[in-house]
Amino acid sequence: MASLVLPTPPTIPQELNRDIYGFCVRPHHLQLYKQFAEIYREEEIERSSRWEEFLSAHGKSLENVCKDYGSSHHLSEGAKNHNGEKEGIEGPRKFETWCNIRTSLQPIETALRHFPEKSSWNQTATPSIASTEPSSNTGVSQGSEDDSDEEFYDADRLDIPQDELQNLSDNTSSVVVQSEENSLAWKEELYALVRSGVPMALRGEVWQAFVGSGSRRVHGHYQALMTVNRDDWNNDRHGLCNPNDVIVDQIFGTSIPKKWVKQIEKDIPRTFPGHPALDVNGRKALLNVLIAYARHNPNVGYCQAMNFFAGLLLLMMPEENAFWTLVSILDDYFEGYYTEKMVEFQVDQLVLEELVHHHFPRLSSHLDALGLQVAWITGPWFLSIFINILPWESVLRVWDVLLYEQNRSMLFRTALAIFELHGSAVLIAKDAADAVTLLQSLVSATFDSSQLVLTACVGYQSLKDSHLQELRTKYYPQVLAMLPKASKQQKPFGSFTSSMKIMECDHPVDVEHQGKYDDELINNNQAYLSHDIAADEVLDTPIMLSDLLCQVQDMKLELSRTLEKRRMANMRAEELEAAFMEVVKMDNRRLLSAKVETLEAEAADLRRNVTEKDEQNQAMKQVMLRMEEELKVTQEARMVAEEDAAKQRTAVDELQFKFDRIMNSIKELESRAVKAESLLEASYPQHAPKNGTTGTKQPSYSTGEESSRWIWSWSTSK
Amino acid sequence: MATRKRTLLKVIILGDSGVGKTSLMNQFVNKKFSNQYKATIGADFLTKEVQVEDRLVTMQIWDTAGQERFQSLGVAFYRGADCCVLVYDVNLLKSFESLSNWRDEFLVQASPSDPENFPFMVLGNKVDIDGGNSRVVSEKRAKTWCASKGDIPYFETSAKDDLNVDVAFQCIAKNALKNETDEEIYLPDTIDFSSGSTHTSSSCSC
Repeated sequence: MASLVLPTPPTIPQELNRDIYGFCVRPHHLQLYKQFAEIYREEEIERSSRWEEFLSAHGKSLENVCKDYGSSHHLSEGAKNHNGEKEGIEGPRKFETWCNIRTSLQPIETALRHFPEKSSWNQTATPSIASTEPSSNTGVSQGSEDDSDEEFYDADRLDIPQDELQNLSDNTSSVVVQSEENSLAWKEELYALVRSGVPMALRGEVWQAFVGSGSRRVHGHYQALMTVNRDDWNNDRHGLCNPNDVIVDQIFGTSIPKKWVKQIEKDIPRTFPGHPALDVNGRKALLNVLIAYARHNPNVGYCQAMNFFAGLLLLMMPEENAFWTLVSILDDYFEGYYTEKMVEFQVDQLVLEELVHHHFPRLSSHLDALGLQVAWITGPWFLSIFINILPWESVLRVWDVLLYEQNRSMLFRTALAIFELHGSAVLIAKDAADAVTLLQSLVSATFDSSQLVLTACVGYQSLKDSHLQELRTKYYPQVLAMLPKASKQQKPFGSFTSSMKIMECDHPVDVEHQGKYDDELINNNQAYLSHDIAADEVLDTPIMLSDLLCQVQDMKLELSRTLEKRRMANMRAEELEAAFMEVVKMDNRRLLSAKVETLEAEAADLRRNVTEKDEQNQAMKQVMLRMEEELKVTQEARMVAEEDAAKQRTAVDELQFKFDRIMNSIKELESRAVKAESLLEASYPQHAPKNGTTGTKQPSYSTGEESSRWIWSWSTSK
Repeated sequence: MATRKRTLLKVIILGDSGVGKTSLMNQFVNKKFSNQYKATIGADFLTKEVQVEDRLVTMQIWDTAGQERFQSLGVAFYRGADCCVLVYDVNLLKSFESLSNWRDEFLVQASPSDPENFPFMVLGNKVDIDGGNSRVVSEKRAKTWCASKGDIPYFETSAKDDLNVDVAFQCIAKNALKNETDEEIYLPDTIDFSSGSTHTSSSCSC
């Protein structure tokens, strides 16, 4: 018997290729996983202490918890009931079929169960955890659950006759309303805790508290389903059943097609293959749970992916707990999802496609261009609630929030968060193959679970379930129109808790008829319940009564809600049918106009581009022209200059020529002068005595000098 | 066509749950076999580059979930497929009998332009089991069925022993590619060359 609320978080496992939960890590992610394992461990330690604080502040003291386990009031059931302490990855319980969750968590369950309008508070919750210290005892019906009071409380109740049950439930609901406000702060704190993750050691029980498997449980129901199972097996073994046979359920008058059993048997070894906890006993438990569910809700039967859910739950809780938790998840959160026609799932995919288009227009149009539909990628995400898609730590963190919120809006937020984190990488993909492969590998390596959950919960906080509901109504006609006309057969509404989805109904009953049917249903249920109670009264101690009263009340609430839903759905179906053609037309028109708009925008863009280009061209042309002109001018100038140069050159030549000639003539003159002088000199002695003076000769000489000087000066001046 | 990017062939694998679709795909793409496959939910997807004659093509293989109710979800992504691979388990009669359903379903939902000549391929898987002693569908019977559906090429495979897997997928790629080029030729000029050629070459010699 453990003495602590939370055992210390388990350490990283020895086995190399398995993670802390015992699941296989893909070989190429091992390195990455190792990096994150340390972070996970630290986060786990932190959240463990925070949860412990929270539970001891608002739940019960540690001592009481321990005491609770000692006096588990279902010991009388005959099941070998161990304490409810969880042991991490220890695997499915082999012997006990049901364990109550620890009492400190029961207020959570009660609180979540009793506020159908919880979406209003869980959405507005702020991440602040700080010092919201609500008055103790804010848990809704904590008083009634309190161990110390319990026996007296039940003893008092023992005398209450059956017909006062109604009264009682009314009282309780008024109490519930009063305490609603008190518990608001308490819930905000819880929501913040949930977003940062539920500790491994607590997860199984906390999930049960979230989905309310305890209040859903009907004593003996699971065992009854199991008894029938065993008969089936025997028949099976002896080959008494044809494959196409339908096994008739003697107890509830329901039938299960053999194909589900076959499919389940096929999928058992394909559920977390090699997981240490899924040994022979583990697989047997898995088989039991899945068959029991198919039998319990024949509207759904068995759909692949449930094997993963059941397998996961069995790793965290005993068999019967896993069954009721699975029932709660499938019937409350995923109603209409895993049925033959999967209407809700298909609608959700269309809604998601719209959301992706709204939040990531570029990515959306890129995928369009690659010929990819968002649903091809996200379909498996939603169907398997991210199991085998994201790394396990991330899967569990997403489940924490999803189960807490009482609806499946977390699916959408997670998907959008994934696109936010990895969408930009997809934008670079050149073709469809690249895009899908890239996204697959990125998603499977989203080890940063805190980042993912934070992005989902804070980044898309405004994405509320009510908004999703609105969007869904828009797409019902489209999906219903695509369904194959004649369905093979209508599954009977066998079990009393079966989810009745009007969308699945091929032949809607008219309202009057419906009413009668509903009344019958209520009567039957009451009869069944009173029978149940009577039987338990005989068998068990008074303690059972409080449980039964709670259950009666819960089931009444649930029944009335279901019936209300059904009526609403009926009306809606009619309306939808009437408006169907119109909507489809509108839808087409809307799509077309949207397309036209985008095309127009594109055209405008192109036009703008063209004009810009034109302008640029014009400018370029002008520049070119100007340059050409300049070129011409310079060329002309060059020509002129060249001509000038040529002229000057000829003039120089001429001058040179003239100069030469003149120099020649000067030389000639000089030589002549010399000759003349020599002549003169020669003749001088003869003439001199005659003339007697040299003076006459002198001037003639000087004239020769002068004439040559004159010629020089003339030539230079020229 | 102005620029020819890399050729993408879209291949869809159909067949009953548990006949070995995922195993075949993994054997072909990753050259690995494991007894520990998880059930496929919705659809899974792998790609592989293959050399067909002198062309490098990328096969984009869509592995589908076998459970009946997932069929209604397949509508969209069957479209644009270049080849459809039908898989059955030679040891399970029902999986063989379902082939017609799978084929019809595919043709209805994918609505190819020329359903008569759309390239299918049938693989009889798990021939390794029990040395073939537990098989209930004979090769002859399977081939007869294939012949009746317009000479669908048929291979007996074992994903576990890697028997015929590569050969089969090569043939798939070849046929898918041929179909693609046939269509391209067919579009511009209307000579009935194409119908003649597809008819003679539809039996893949292997």
